[in-house]
Amino acid sequence: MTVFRVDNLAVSFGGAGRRVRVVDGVSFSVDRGETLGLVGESGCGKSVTVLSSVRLQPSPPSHVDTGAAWLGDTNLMGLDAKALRNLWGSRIGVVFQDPMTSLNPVFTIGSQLRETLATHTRGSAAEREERVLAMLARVGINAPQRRLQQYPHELSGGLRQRVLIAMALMLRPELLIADEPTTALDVTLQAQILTLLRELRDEFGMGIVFVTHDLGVVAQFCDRVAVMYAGRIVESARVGELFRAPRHPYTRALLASTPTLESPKDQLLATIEGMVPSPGQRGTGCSFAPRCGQASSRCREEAPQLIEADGRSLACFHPVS
Amino acid sequence: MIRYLLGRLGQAALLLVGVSFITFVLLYILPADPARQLAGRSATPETVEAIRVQLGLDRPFHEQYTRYLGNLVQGDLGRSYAQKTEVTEVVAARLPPTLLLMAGAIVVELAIGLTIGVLAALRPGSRFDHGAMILSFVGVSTPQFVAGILMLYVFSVQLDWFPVGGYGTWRHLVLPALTLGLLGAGWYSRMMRSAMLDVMARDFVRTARAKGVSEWRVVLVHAFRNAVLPIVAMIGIDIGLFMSGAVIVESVFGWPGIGQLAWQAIQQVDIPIIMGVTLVAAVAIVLGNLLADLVAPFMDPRVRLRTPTNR
Repeated sequence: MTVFRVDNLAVSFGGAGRRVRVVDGVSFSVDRGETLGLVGESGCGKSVTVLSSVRLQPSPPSHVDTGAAWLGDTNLMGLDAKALRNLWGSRIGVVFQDPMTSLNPVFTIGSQLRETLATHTRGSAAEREERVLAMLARVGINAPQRRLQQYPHELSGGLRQRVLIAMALMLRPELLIADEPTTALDVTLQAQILTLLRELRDEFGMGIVFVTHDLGVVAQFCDRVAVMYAGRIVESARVGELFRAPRHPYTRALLASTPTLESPKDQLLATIEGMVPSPGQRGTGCSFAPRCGQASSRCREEAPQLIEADGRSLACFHPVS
Repeated sequence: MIRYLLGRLGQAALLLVGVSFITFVLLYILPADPARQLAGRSATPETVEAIRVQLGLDRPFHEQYTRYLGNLVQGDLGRSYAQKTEVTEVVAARLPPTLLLMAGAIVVELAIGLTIGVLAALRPGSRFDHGAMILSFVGVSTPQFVAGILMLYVFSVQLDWFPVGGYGTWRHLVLPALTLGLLGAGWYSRMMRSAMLDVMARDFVRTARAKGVSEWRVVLVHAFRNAVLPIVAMIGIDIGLFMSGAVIVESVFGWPGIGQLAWQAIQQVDIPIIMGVTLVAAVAIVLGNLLADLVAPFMDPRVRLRTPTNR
């Protein structure tokens, strides 16, 4: 059952006249209990895509030009601020990248957690306290009672990210947006947080859209993956299939540039020649064409559409077999 | 905490000795002669000399200063030359009006400054923002005697809303407090605007929005509590500015406080009063800063008090 579906989302930045398209016709969906990885290099538009899809990308300066984002039967693009606030924190949970700066430094952990409940539910202070404590225990925080009195600066990065996860999942949202939630953490903590998110996903049955640039994390944690390049999805497939048989030249180059334990130590990592075109300089053709070995004259003139076949999608005229 | 306070008080004592010394030196080298001033124009040189001996002004500088310091330690600030009463009594009688005026000015600068700052930051680049920033610039740049006289003219003389001067009811307080607080209001509206713009772009504001918290709560609770932190520290420093501002404002409005007393004492070369007022001002500045430092940990949990000596 589909929890969240984004259709043909296009987002641009800047005022009238100087508008630059950053996300261009992106579509994806995520099912109950499923994790969709949105992967791509810095600046490809993955964060803007997910934050815009749940209307959390500040506007202005951003602007959603086209598209719909369906949470159940509700198109988020048609909602006013009040209706959106009713969904944020209750049906949509969000965990951001940097736990060190994502909590308010002058309020206690307890008051920031209770705020989610106070915003969306009625109930006595004692009930709230109980729910907060139960949630903190659920995300693996020991001595939750003591944590409630503490301020963010008294907690480590890993604990803060657990607090933020508890905050986002307090009301058991059906959709979790995770915007690089493990990027700022060391590898051990990263693994712990991913394990926790997987458990909670299975327990609550929520769908997760997981933004990352780390293919290792995608392989470990995601069910399906969509690869973004220059504001578009170029390929999407089940994780196993994508890693086993990448079909888009960019996906293949991306996988080739990831070191594995088997790579010889003296061998240089493979790199992709050239630069990602900046949003203002994308031509009419395929954005990857200037850096692609397979590119033909057609690629430079006409942008390939994302076409679905055999349960996977691809936007390329000359797929790698 | 006790150690911290003791350390700070020790520093304050040293500072007061320093302030008293500098003021004493300045008054000593001043060309004005208090004895001649007291004796009047028609006095004979013998009378002037007699008064000088009586006040101890014929003694060498170090003797005068050590005697003053000795009395000061015992809480004796001497007698006013002109009014023949104890300096402590004169100053104590003039302190409450000045404290009231300062409290009024703090209310003015916070109420006007923070409100304008927050509103301007909510719509940066808007007409309100531009207008507010021009106004705050005017507030910061207008000398207090000009602002005071303008307010007197407009609100007392023309509109007759407030009394022209004096002391007693809240209506007497409004214009002097506005005049004294205007400078701070201008400053704070600019500081608050930039602090709010900075804080509203922080990650935790985004987190609060993502929880579904209402926009006014995001602004007035999450952002405001962080943006106001530097301003709380500034209020302590303001008390020093208010002391110098009070001299002008109290003179313009005939407000019977320390500032007016200082102004009169300077005209009469009433050295004990000048010394007394200077020391009170120094104490006020020290206390203001101490208060700001003591409040800081309650406003910002990341701040810990640390004795300056063991840093």
